[in-house]
Amino acid sequence: MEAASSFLTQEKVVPRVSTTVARAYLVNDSPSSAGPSRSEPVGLASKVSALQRDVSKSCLAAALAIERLLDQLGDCANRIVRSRSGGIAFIFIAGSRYGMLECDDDGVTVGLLSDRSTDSEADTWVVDSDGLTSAVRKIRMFLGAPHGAHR
Amino acid sequence: MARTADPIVPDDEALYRSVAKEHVVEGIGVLAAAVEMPACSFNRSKYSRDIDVVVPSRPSENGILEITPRELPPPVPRADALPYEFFAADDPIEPNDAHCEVRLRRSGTAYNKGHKPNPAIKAKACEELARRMRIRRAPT
Repeated sequence: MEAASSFLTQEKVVPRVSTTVARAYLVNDSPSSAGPSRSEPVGLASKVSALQRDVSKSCLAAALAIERLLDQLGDCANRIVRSRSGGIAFIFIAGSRYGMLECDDDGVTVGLLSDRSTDSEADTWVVDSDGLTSAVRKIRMFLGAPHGAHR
Repeated sequence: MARTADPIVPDDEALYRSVAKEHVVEGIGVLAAAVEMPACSFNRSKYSRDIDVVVPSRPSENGILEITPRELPPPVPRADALPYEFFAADDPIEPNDAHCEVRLRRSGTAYNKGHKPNPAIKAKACEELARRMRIRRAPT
């Protein structure tokens, strides 16, 4: 049921979505905007669906798991982007702080917490298969007030 | 045929890299997702202009990032092993003579292209590098 309703599954996704089209969903671009964009949570499914091209099955499966969990929690990421290393990254933003859950080619998910207002080193950890919920909570704790449906 | 690699990249030489709008956030800067480790490609300013990193094959990456070897992050510590350190390596390739890489290696050991750092270390290294990059031209 979960998988069938997901926009990550083949049935609901146009097989060859260009990244240019995807970008409009991903960062809420508009032709008139210039420079770095602000972080506005947008619909999760439409964003993730555009990212499956050229992503490994393991990476996609890991991203699916995050998508499902966020949906269950009524939460959403500010951005979902292809990382330059070839993975999929869920970005959660609050001011000068951000958290990230990144799925790599091997299907490994890594959590990251960073506060750019200080020189303190980022906190990173490998997210265990049963540690996704606590990873999302850890990110939300770090960022303070929750976003999305929690707002 | 690519030129012969220089033995060192000077500490004050600007290195350029393209960036997409989705990888830059106001109030934060460049996201870790904008870079890759254990090797991240750049163009050397000695052999190219900044705009040369913006290429038709990656149309969304129309912003330009800049860093010098001197500005690379300090070593990434590990609990039970040698820290990882950043360094810039000249790496001319066909057809990009200006190509170089910011690489990660275990302190005191030679860079090993086949070595894969722990994913958490890799993410930390990406973040440390990303936060030091200057946005020379904002992506649109």
